[in-house]
Amino acid sequence: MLRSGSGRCLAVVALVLLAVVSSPLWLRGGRAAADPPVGPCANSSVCVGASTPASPPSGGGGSGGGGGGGVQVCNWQGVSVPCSGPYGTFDPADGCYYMEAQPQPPAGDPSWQGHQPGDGAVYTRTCPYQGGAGAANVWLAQAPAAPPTVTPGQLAHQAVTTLGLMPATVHTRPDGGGNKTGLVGSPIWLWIDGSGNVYAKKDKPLYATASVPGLSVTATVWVSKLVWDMGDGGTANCSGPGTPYTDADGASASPDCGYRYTKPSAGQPGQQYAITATAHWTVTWVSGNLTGAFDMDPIATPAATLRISELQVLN
Amino acid sequence: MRRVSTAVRCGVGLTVAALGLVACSSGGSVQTLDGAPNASGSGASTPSAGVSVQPTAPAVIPSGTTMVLVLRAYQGYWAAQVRALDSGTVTGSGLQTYATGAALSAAYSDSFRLGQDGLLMAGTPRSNPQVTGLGPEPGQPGAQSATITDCLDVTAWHQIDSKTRQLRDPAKRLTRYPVHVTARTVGGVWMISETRSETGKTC
Repeated sequence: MLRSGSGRCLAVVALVLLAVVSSPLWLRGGRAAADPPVGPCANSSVCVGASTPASPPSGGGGSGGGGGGGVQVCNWQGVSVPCSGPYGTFDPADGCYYMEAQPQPPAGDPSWQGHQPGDGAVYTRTCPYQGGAGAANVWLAQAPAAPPTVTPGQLAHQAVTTLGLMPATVHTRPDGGGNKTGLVGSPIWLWIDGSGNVYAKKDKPLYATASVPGLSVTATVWVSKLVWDMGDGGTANCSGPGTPYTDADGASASPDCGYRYTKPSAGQPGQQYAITATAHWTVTWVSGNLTGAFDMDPIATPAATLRISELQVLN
Repeated sequence: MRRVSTAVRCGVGLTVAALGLVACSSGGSVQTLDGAPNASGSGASTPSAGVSVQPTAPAVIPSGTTMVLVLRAYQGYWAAQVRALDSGTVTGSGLQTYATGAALSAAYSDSFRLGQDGLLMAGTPRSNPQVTGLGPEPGQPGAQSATITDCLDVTAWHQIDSKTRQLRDPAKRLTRYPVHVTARTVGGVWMISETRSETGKTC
């Protein structure tokens, strides 16, 4: 039997789910109740070993998020399919969707296939009409031809890719190196920095534009929150990038982004806490008198580590 | 083999709460590689003259801590799938935060097919992952890769009709099966790169 790390939490979430999905079928007792209608094999994770075949491509398809408005229809092996959507732009040559990876991987990453950043881009290829097989990160010299029409929301997505958003570098004080061990209960300073577009405040956002004939979009992009996973089960939610610590700050706490551990890190694997942050980027866009908004997938940072010891009283 | 309990705990923050079951349930234990601590963590500290100026290269991280980071990415990957497939919207779900390559597009394909069939997912899978391998990524200086073995339990994760919310699960599915996962670092960030389900057996 699978063990549960925190039964109480499981129960709470399960209750929430039950409340949301309050279909009487959830009360089915084994095989006594009327069998629910069998569905197609859509989600590969719940189709392992299933006797139901995968759903064939059908017209219309993929309601997906992102744009809104009418869906431009392309053709794949005689079936009408969406030309673009949240999975990217459809390429009729191979029946796959291509979406520019966000953020782009750094130079030297294998998905560049030997090319340098700036020369083409890395795309995520999704091939849902082929059972999802053959899907991977691929480098392309240029994007697949844009569909004849795009929605303003889709165009806003394209605009955001031009910003080259990057993962930030996380910093803590104490900084985890050598003798700088933190103490239980003492203030930890947290902040990020980095070159490139790793952060933008709402009152000083980034702007990006994109246009196709007959349509232009301006996107406003900023980080709505920076969530720090502190490694002890706790998080710090910061509304700004945090303030770098200086010696003049002494033993004070960070004015805007900090944390205090309640337990030493001795019980952790590696005897340290692993600290990562995710920047939650929000986009609003304007196109003529149309407006829209969406949240991007958060961008995670590489980790910092920090050793935390029990406070020792010195006389 | 030494076994170290990770006790990845159910945290308090909004994010962790949103991760739902996966974040809470996938504590488990982590197998460390025999006598192979990746780093000393001592001695190589930086001089502390100007405190505010810190090295941009991250300090070498012990293998136990790295395993925590690998599992954090894996939990994030499943939480993002639950979010994306429950809402029918991959945008903003966090899939790109925690997955790359084949693992990412497999999740996108699932989302696509569900949307095409007028389905969503309800509930959540349970997992019990263990890091089974950790090492440098061949041919990629500075990059690391890891393998995870999981026993995925999808008993309480269902396809439902997006309008009526009736169950629409496929027939005779395996509800518990082993999953073999590959993760790698992309610019120092751990991401899930591939998952392979064992179709022939339960666990």
